[in-house]
Amino acid sequence: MAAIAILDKVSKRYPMAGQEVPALREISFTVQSGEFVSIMGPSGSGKTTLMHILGCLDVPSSGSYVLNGIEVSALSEMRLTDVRRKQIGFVFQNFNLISTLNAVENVALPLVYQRLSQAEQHERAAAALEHVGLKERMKYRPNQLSGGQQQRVAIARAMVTQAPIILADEPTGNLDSQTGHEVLELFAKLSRDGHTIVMITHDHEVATWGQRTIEIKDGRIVADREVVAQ
Amino acid sequence: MIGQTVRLSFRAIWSQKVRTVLTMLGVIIGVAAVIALVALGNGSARSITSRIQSLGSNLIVANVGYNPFAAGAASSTTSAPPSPPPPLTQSQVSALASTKGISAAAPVMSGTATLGVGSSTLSSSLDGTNGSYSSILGYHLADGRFLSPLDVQAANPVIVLGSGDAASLFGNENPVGDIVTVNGMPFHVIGVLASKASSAGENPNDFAVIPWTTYNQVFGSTGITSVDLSAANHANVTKDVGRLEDKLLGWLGSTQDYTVTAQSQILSTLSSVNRTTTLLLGGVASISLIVGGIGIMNIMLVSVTERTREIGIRKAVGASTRDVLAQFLVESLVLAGVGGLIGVAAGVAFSHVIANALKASAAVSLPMTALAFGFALAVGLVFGLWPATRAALMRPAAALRVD
Ligand SMILES: Nc1ncnc2c1ncn2[C@@H]1O[C@H](COP(=O)(O)OP(=O)(O)OP(=O)(O)O)[C@@H](O)[C@H]1O
Ligand SMILES: [Mg+2]
Repeated sequence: MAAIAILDKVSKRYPMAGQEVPALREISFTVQSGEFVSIMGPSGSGKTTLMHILGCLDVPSSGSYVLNGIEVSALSEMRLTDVRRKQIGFVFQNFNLISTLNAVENVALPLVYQRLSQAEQHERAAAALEHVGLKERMKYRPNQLSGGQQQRVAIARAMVTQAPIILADEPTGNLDSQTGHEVLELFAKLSRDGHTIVMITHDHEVATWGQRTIEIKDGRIVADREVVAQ
Repeated sequence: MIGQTVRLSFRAIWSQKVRTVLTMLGVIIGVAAVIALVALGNGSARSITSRIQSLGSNLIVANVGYNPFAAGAASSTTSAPPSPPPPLTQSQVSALASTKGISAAAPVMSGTATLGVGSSTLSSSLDGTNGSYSSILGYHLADGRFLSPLDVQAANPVIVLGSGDAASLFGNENPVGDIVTVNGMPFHVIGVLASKASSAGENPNDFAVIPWTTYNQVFGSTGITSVDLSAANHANVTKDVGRLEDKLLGWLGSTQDYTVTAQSQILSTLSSVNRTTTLLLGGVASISLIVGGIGIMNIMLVSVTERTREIGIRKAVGASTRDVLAQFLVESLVLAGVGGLIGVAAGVAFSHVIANALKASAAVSLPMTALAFGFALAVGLVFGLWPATRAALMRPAAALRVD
């Protein structure tokens, strides 16, 4: 198996009131291609900060991060955009769909920025929606969809570009356990199809859906273990 | 890509209808004001020009009489007003007519007379003149003939009616050969003039013309104090005016005793005054367009703040700084452009409504309309730049943390 993401002593400090508040301290781990990793930790432990760095939405204060062979920790915003566009799919806790766009348009959004033709955008977005079981809801606006349906649209958006890595920040955090379960089934299916998934959660139950769990606390890794198949 | 951006920006803008309409209102009013005010300015300039031109663009008017505003008049403050200069003689009029560059001259005596046919009467302007009058002032005959040299020499009781007077006195009948009384005295109608298009103001057809010699007999001798002249070539009127002034100075001995005015000089002065006024009006209206632009900037800044999270999402899924910049610039351009189009329609409609109400004419010019619309787009671009830049430079991680 090839390593897709290699973090080496990644730290992140936020400037606050003249001081620097550390959010991540020397985080090092490697994600292999095709792996389904859960990152766990209590509130404020730095999970979202870590995901923003993994997703090239932010750069580390120090340390090295190699994504799919590219050292991204020192890239310009323009190059980071290019990396995000090609390498990463995002799923957020609060779905983060754009309210003025319907389901298929939300899914197609990454393809718009890849400058695909409108016909191809539509074709691929429709296929992704079908994959998450929402073929019938293509023209629905986010406010016409349930939370679980919105999250499935978001997952379709994350996978539509065939990005090598999908990052999910508390994807079940705003869902009840039943719909949360459906969403996790979907991640499991994506994982079986060969997608690399990094999922953040503070829920032990949810974390066991991954093959491996990394626990962080106060910005430090406190545990990194394989999930024992039950 | 750009087509899709424009289409989606229409949707984003339309999702906030009230706000959009209120924002556009500034641009609409600005563009409409520019177009309407400039159209009215141009319209009034055009009607003044056509009114003066209808008198004949080669027309030069020489007046004899004390003119206190002439050069050198101010020095004589203590002395009583000088006695009026003597009127011109017929041979002097002929001399003016044969001046180099002058093609014709007609003495003009103007007054008001009561014209009568049977029991019906009409109070009308009446000019006493000679046969050159019609060609100098650009009148054509509808019927009959105009004054002949013989009519003037013999002081014949003959009259030529303007089309307005002919219609008032005779209706649809042909007056040529009939008798019209002028202040009770019988005159032969020898001709009727064709209608001249009436521009705003006076009707150029409500008058009648008799020989100036006859006029002297009817109204008592007032002498020739005004002569209308026609320049052979209107490009040379300034020189022609100078030559006429030289002759009058030789006869009368004082620059205060006559004035010579070319119609085209009045025309160019008036049109330059009018152009300045029009530009000024357009400038004032443009200020309201700029105010409209500030409205756009204000609402775009609000929109960027409200949509911080959307910007974060777009950047997360691959939007570049330029993509976000383009999106918000297109939105403000669409706001300004749609506002501009509505403004153009409103401005055109408005200038016609006002023109009708004021009985003035409005001249909506295509270049001015294009300019106003282009200015609206420029305003949208300039005032959209700052909000769009703010959106484009947002850090994606920070934008996503905002709720
Ligand atoms: N922009 C910022 N400026 C200053 N401090 C920040 C900023 N963003 C995050 N932090 C701090 O960094 C730490 C980690 O925050 P982070 O959001 O990554 O935690 P989290 O593990 O995702 O928590 P939660 O489970 O509540 O989402 C927190 O102490 C937080 O206060
Ligand atoms: Mg978090």
